[in-house]
Amino acid sequence: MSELQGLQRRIEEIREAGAEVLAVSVDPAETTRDKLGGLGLSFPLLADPQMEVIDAYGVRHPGGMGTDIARPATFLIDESGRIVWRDLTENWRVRVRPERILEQLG
Amino acid sequence: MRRKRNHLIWVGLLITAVGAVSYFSFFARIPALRDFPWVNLPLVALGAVLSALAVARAFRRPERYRGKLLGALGLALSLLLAGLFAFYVFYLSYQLPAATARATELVEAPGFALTAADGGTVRLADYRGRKVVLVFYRGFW
Repeated sequence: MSELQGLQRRIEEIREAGAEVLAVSVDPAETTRDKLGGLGLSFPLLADPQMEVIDAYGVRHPGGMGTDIARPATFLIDESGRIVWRDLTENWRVRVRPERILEQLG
Repeated sequence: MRRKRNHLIWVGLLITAVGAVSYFSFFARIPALRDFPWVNLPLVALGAVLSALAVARAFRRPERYRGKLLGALGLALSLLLAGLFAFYVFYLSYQLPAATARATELVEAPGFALTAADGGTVRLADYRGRKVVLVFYRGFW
């Protein structure tokens, strides 16, 4: 979740590049509100407890936290709804850097 | 000569503990220090070395320093913390399954409607005409 704070720091630049950030996890909306509500994140934090979207993008990590969770992953979707770039890390500590996303946004 | 308290026992253990805990509580927010713990790994190592020095001086110069037993306990705890941290950094965090074919080959972004933490519903289709950075994260921990 701390990668979200890194994205928040560059959010103005990301928006100026014509993009919005949407963050998805398996946590129910109430849990996310309780735990992350105080972090001042200005982009939507979406709840996918049924893992429908997580599975639609193929990013389920079975048993990742005792139970199934999403693996860290970033998809860049263009104006017409096509995935034009993705980052699926091999190490859950190592997340895509905001500057790489900005590079991709051009 | 009166024997001194062996403060290095506590200093070593404290530095190891701060080194391990502050990675999660603070340094993981800074991408460069998250990807490789440039601050935390040296701190943890320094703490373990100081813990070892504390034990060494308790045994080598028992006439000056106290803390043989306490120092050994401190060193054991310090090494345990350092070991767990290194295990997490160099092994545990690599334990991700290989990326699925779906994740690597998807072209059309699957649509969705999900509840946001603030209660509203967000649809991917709402953003048609803008770019979207869709980030999956592990959760609040």
